[in-house]
Amino acid sequence: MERIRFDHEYDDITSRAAANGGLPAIDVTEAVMERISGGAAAGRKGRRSFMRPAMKRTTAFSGALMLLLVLSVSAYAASQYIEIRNSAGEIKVQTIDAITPQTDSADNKAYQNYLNKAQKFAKPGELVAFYVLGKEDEALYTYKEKPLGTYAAFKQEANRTGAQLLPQKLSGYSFVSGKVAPYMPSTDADKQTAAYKQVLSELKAQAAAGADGKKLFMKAVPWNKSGVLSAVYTKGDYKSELTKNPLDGGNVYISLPSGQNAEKIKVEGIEVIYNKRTISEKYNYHYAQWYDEKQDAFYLLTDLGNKRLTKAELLALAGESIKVLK
Amino acid sequence: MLTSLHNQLEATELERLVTAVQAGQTELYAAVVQAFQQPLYHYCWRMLANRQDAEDAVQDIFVKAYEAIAGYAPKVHFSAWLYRIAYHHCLNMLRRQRLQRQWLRLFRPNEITAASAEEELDNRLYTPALAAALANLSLEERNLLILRVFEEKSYAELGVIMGKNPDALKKRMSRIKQKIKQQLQNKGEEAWSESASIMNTTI
Repeated sequence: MERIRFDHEYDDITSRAAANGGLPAIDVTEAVMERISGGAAAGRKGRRSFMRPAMKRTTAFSGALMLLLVLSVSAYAASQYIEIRNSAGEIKVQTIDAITPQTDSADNKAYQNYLNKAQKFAKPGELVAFYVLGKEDEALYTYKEKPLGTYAAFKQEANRTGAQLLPQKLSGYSFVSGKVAPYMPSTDADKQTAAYKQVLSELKAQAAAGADGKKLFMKAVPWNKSGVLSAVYTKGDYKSELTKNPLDGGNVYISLPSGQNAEKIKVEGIEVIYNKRTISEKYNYHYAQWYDEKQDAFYLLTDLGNKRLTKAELLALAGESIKVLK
Repeated sequence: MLTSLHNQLEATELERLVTAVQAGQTELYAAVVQAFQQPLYHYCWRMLANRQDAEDAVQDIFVKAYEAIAGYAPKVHFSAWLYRIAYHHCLNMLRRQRLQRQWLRLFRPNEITAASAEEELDNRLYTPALAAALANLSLEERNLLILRVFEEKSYAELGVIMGKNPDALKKRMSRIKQKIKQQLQNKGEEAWSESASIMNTTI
């Protein structure tokens, strides 16, 4: 994929046109959903439709709100609903009040804009560092995902990046695909490393060499240390996904919207948080999460498939996962 | 850290969502619609040059995409797949006589007799000189320019969307750019100032 540089290339045109960001917005969600719901019902006649059974049933919602795991310490007003502590008594996982995204701030919009450009710049599997002139004196990172469709490829990438491999079989479920994301430098300690300083220095050199009104500077960065690891498994019509977040000494905050309840349940001798999140009557999902002290990793298990797991089934699968991952 | 992780998960979640919709969880399609409706709307608005038609088109495109989603395979990015549907839908719409007239109205201002407030808004997508320059492009050329310049698609994505070789599209875009530049120079029009546009124009 070629590198895109829009900053000046199309100035003749963009300076004579309204920017997308200034155009009015629409919301056609309800209209579309009404149309496809009606269409799906009619379309089932005489053939087995992929749209079949789940239309009226509660289901696992795994949209952008799926996870708000905050793997760094920030100033949140935490309500301590549920905690998981390590053997030294330190809190490793806790639920907190939902964080209200500040999507309207100019800074956030600008940041999102730069992040989107960096995302477009990255090739699949590539870690990209970017620097914004006039903002914080720091290199930021983003990554473009690269799904790995065979267990051999998943294993190879996990080995290359020092990740502890997720299993090929999980309680009768078989591996379908996996992902290995890079560790993305962000902590104060990360910023003291020679590698980080080198990247920042190169980006700033780019900026100094040819800023000319340009604000965003990017470069692909080779990586060999993994961060988040995930694998999708299937068993018949059931599909589940297991995600591992190495904490590297950090903590996890689980954001809970108002009125949302999470439970802490002992499974295979480990405290597991079961969370069912309801966005509306139609849109809801559930997942199980636990902390593995030996690995200093936080796991998340959810279901994705055509058939939904009950709470008991999901927790049983979490138990099997805990045993396998030990 | 929060934002980078969140962004990373969003990409994961899109794939999950599409897989889940393919598996029968129809209601999750709402999240797909919410994720793409604004960029598709802007794309359609620029293509169709009519706000209401663009809104109708976005609905139709999402319905078409849903009907075809079982055939989607992640070997191409979902966004490119969706834009491909949008592209064909817009081309079909534009081939209709009614919309061709609207193009004339927008891009040949001399032929406008009386513009409604809605049409005024459509007209303000571009300066008169740029609108005139765009009117001289073919539908495919306009589409390429809109996707490249305003939707910021890579040539690889454009190749998927338009079913063409990315290198050929790159060359074609270069020619389009020159064509537009020449016409703007002939018109001698200055770029819009901030106050001249009803919408902020900075990209």
